[in-house]
Amino acid sequence: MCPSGETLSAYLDNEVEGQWKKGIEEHLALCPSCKHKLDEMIFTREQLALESAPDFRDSQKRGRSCLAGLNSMQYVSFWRRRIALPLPAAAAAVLLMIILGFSTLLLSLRTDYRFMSIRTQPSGTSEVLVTAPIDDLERILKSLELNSSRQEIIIQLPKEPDFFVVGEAEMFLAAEYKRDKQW
Amino acid sequence: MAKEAGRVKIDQAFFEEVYETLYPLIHKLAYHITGDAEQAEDLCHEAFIKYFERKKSLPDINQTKYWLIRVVKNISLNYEKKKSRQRKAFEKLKKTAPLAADSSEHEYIKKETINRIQRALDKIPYRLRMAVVLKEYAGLNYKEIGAILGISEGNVKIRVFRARQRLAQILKEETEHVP
Repeated sequence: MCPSGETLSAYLDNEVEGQWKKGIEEHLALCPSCKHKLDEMIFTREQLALESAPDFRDSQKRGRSCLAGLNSMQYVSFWRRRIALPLPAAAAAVLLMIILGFSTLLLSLRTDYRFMSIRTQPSGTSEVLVTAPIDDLERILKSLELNSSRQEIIIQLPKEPDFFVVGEAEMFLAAEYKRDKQW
Repeated sequence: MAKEAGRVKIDQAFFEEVYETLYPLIHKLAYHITGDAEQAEDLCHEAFIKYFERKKSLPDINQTKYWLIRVVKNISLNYEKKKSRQRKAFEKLKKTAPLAADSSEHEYIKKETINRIQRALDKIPYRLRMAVVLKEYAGLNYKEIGAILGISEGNVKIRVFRARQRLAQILKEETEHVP
């Protein structure tokens, strides 16, 4: 039985060993067809060997100068690396940081605004007075609702009715407040 | 090996030795894979820059050779993809604008000057070309080729054989067509 083309190709590359190699050699001596196939492969191989790549020396020199350039560059660690930034962009970034900082500060002051005092009554009960911004009303009501039902809750509206109309509908409804009513 | 500013640099003398010894081989392989001298140079430079920037040195020149060949293989794959996209775009352009023959003529003349063997190599699929180039021009055995390409020895055997078969066929057809 004739060896496959792949086996012949591997034999040509000296990748067949021992008994297999001996078997192929014996077969090649007897089979002109396989010998012809192998000769064709040898011919292709010889053709490939004739093909030469262009001279590498100039390319190697150019590569060397390119690498020399790389070598002269000093390695700077990430934290010490300098970056170039246009002045207007830097100024804009600083301004943005200042604006963001101030607005965050103002926002935190506004939401944190609270006043609290605890008074102990002669009867033994405690009276907790909380002054909170009207925006927090919903949250206050919710937290009171969740807490113990034994608490007595009094919501006192300001003595002078100088509310803004916008955003206080809940309060108006809760107290049946009328703008023209005198307290 | 010398440690400098947090980076381990490859010893200069060893680098010189690698560059002197392996540049011809890497250049030859890059040329036979791409079929283009300029591209081969770019590929070669890129591979050596990658080696230069490597943080860890390789144990010996042989290991360095395999590493560089692997890098060339990876970069050339990108080049091959680009080339195939360009070829498709060119085919499309040829269909839509058949009169614009200037560039194709220039390309044809350029191709004609390249050796017929390289032209035959260019015609076979990339995976077959890669295997036969590593066999014929780098003199590697099937095991080494398999390790570089990430395939089995059996697969290398098949690819090398098919590449030879295709090359023989192309060269034969070319000889028959010559008046």
